[in-house]
Amino acid sequence: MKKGSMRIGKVLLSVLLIAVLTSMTAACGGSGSGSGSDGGADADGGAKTGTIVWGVDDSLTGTGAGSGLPSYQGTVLAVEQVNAEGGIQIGDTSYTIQLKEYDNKSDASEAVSTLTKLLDVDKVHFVIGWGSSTATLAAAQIAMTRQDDVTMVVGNGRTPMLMVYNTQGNIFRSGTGNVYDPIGIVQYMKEVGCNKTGVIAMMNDTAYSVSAKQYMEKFEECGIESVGLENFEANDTDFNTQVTKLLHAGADSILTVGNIIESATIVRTIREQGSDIPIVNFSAGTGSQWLGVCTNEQMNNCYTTRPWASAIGATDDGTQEAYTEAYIARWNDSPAQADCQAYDDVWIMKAAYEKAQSTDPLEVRAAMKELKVSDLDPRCVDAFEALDGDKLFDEFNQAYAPYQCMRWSMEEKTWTLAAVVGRNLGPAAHREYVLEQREKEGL
Amino acid sequence: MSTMVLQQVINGIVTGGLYTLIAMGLSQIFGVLGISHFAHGSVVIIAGYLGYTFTRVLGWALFPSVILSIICCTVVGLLMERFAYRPMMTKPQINIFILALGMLFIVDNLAEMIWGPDPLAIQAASNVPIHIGPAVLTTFRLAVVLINFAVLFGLWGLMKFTKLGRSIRAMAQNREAAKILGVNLNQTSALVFGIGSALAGLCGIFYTSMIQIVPSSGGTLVLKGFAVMILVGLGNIPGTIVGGLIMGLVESLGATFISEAFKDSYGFLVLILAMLFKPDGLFNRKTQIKY
Repeated sequence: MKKGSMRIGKVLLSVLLIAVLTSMTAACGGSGSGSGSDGGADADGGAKTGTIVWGVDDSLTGTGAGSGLPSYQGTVLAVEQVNAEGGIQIGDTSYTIQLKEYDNKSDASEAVSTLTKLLDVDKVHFVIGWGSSTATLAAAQIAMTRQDDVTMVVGNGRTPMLMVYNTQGNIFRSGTGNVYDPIGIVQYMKEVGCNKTGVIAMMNDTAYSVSAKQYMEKFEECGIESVGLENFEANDTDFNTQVTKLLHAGADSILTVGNIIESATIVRTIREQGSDIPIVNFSAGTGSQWLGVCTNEQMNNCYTTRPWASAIGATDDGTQEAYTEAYIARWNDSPAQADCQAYDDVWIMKAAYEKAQSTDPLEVRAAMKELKVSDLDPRCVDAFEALDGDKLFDEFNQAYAPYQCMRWSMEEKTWTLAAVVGRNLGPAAHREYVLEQREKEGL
Repeated sequence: MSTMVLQQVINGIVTGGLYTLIAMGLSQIFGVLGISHFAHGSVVIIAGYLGYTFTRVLGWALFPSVILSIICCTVVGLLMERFAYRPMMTKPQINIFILALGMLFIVDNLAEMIWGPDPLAIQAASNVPIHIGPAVLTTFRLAVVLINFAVLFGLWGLMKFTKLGRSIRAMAQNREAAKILGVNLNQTSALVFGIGSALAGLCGIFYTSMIQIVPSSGGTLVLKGFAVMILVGLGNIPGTIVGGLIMGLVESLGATFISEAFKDSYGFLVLILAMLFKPDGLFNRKTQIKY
């Protein structure tokens, strides 16, 4: 009796296994074509459907996770919205977006490995995400040598060097390169009472060190005295020495340039040393990220500047509110800059596919190059500047948006919009920087 | 300049207090059992992470969270002594050394799995800055200094005037003789581990409140604890206080006047120099327990 029921169980299990495998095979369809997509008619002979596969390479863990994780969440939110509305329409075929995701652990060598896997194993041609600079810059070195295989669409990886190396034109970036951050922002620092500023920066990170130096260069032009530059590294937790040195050097304000958690710890240390001076932070993040380290009281008189991101009241058309609401509903967290940029990248990709009316990677890339700001879905969060001919990307494949200056709100316990700076400043400054650096590097 | 030095001295004293706490437990355990208890660092981070979980995740009040975290650490220490070290006491020292390191790594990895790699902090209650002349100290940091001194004074009293203290000292001087004289070796070992782990728990709570905790904090702190222990000589309670302060001050002033980048090296440099001239420790004429 026992043997009999075991045999029946085995047979049932086998049938179940075969059924599951069959349904999985049917769901997956055939093997992907060279364009990272596949399609065919519906079973009922109606509208055709297909699948487009994109790679997502982001810093889900490690030091860049503060940007990488929101970036990934923004990507997923947009893809879900696009798919829910029928996907990408090319001719009479509706393509659903499928994501192949990898965590580059905020590590340069890991990013090279994950991008190579996406290209050689998963055979994707478009890789989005790229929320942090270190990993993005390393992966870009691979992308440059494989320009026919891959198009990188970068969000928050804002290192200025990325576009310097983009000589093959297969990297696009919606997040503003941080080369011109200081231009408007330092003026804003002056407005909030910064006259003698001390800088604490993560100088062993290229993106942060370049920015810190640029800020300090701009201080003099705007009448701010620099009282010193103190260094820290990723994952440092004790900043008493640096803070003590700057405060005793007479700083009436501090600028932090580094990851969110470390910057928040610096804020806490400054307040614990009894100082209530204005603190301007290079990294924005979400309110909850800062309150994970500081109290609301310690955040008083804190500011941050960031590329355009979702901010209630920043536009009159309700875009910001709708995005914020959708993001909170999906992730139970407030949005930041990295998720907005990644979210917009998905809509940019959709617009490029629909403009190209093709799934051929090179045709889509060419269409992306020609995209106009007016081609974009109105749900895009960034207030992109329309360049000559209403174009979204310039000759380096860089899009532009102004910066937002945010002040910590004690009532709302998060950043709130205080000013918009840098409108129209970006293209010329960025162009000058890229050309200068390319000349230096002989590119 | 002098104001800044004063502030850095205060910073160094507070940090040094943490090193003293961890060194004290290590010193007791090494003195009595001869174990290089590297897993003591694990106990520190367990306290920090539990404190964080109780206060920040579960929203409990600070004081009961601290007490519960320290109790948990004491239990962890007792379990380590009973089920990890005691069965290994007759085995070669290298086995115990590797076991201790192994436990440190395992807890480090477990912490990363559970709480993630990012730094976490406990928000200290009523933590407001107070001015001491031109220097500033928060109420919490002041409390940490005072509690450290009170705890260490209590420990000194325990060692000096109680039967348990005499048993511990007897065990440290001659284990076999102590047994003949009626000292319960297992019970005394367990109590030493319990006390040491409670001190480590207190250190973990202070560290997570004043600085932040990451999974690798345990390894860093236990190395500094060993450095203090070796610097001053084994089992010297007043010496350990001074040693912890030396370590904290050297780090703080070194970071100020030389470079912040090598902060963790300065204390070890002093240790090496001290070992060249006073191999038995700054305050011991020879390696022995002193109270």
